[in-house]
Amino acid sequence: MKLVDKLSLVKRKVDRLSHIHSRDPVDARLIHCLCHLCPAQVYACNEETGALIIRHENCLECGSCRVVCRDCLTWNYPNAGCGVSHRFG
Amino acid sequence: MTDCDVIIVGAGLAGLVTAISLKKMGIDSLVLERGDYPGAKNMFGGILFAAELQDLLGEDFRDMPYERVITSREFAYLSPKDALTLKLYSRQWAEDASCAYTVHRAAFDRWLADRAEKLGIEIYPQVIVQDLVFADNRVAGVQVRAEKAGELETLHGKIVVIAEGANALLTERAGLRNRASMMKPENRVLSVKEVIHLGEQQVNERFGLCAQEGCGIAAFGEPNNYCRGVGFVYTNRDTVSIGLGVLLQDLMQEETPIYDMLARFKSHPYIAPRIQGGSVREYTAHMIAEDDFFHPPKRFGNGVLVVGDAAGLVNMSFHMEATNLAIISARFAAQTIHDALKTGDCSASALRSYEKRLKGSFIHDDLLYSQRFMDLLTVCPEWRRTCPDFFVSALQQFFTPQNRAKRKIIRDIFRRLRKEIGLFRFLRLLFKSRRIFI
Repeated sequence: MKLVDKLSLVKRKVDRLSHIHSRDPVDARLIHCLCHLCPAQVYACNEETGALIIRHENCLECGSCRVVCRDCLTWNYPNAGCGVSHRFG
Repeated sequence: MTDCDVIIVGAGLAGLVTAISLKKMGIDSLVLERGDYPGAKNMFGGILFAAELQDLLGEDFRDMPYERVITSREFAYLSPKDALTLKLYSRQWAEDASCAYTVHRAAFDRWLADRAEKLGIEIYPQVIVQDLVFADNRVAGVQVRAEKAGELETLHGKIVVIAEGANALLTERAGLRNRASMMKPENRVLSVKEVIHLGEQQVNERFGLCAQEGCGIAAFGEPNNYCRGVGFVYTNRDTVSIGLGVLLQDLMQEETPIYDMLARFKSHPYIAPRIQGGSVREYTAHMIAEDDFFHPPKRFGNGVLVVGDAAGLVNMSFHMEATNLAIISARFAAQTIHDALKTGDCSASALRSYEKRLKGSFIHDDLLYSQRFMDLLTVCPEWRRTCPDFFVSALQQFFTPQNRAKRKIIRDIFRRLRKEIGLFRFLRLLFKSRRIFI
């Protein structure tokens, strides 16, 4: 089973606005780290520009990215009523 | 929502137990939860150590929605093709109903919240606490946003209890975590988990369980790339929870994403047959607090207390205890609040007795134990791979019929020990590890 399919199993309401923002142009090394670290493939690297792509709709709200990239990310909880709702947990 | 003497942030185990304990002492509180319902954002490995909860709830405890009673616990070291396990089965655990259970947090937390509401406690879901409100150098309430892009609202209270969990945004914002104690890759574990449906009979057969009996497996070694962390399998009624946790610091060095480690764990020959053919029902991720014992977050302040995971109360050694620590810390917090409100002094010096209660209990000692355990895996990486790999292959050699005298095989094993690890190095490792065992 692919990760995309697993992510689709999680019940969630996606907010139009992202709860994750990157502050400055993020260092390529950090982008690489984020892409490998995130358990939900929220992060990707734009291969042409080398910029960070954030797909907040995938987020499982673990908060690991913020712990690792404290200086380059602002991470807030998704708005009230949005984000994941575990059915089992 | 109206002002209340006590405001509790988070309707997880610690938050709800604080509210219930307070109510039983005649104190009203307000519980705020960011999820659609209590438990919506929660996930845990799988075991609820419930003795203290039973003590608190009494008769009400009987209709707790649990999955199975844990009757066996197993510790496994997995190398790519082999497994060395230690398993304890205890019928005593099944008869002693106050012991350990597997539960699904979405169901369990909602049930506990329901119990709390029946007692008259107000719980508000879908409320996000943005920040604490300070007045005269003390916490005087919280700033909340109840609706999407709605106005910020201020709720006043004499004491705020932070039970926000391992992703401790509020404790950081409130300045209860300083540079040394803030969330860092070396004190946070990332954990992912899948719930796999097999059917009740299949779970019984594959794990050798009778009705209601459950087991927990903790696995170290190859699945998590020999990082500091653990793989786990817990049996629910008709599903299995399988997942792993890896220290973020180690995960940052790895090229393998954690979901690929989980896939490898699931395909290990010791694990795969047990979950074969099952269908994945949910995939979730959560952090585990592994705060440094010597640089803990502040657990109390002027008008504020921190309980459960947010306070770093997790014993991540062999035991993987956190639920019981959350419950006990919550009860300590409730007693402290009761005393403080009675005297009318909610300052840090009055709330200090919460920390004293923690230090006077086994929790303090267990957190030190947990720290030593993690430190040992850091300073002696041999325990993560070299040594257990040697034990596995030595036992394999010992139990493989070879048409040679066993005495000679034992001599070979000792020769290998000297060559592969070194006798002196091995003795030194044991010496360094003495504090874990005695």
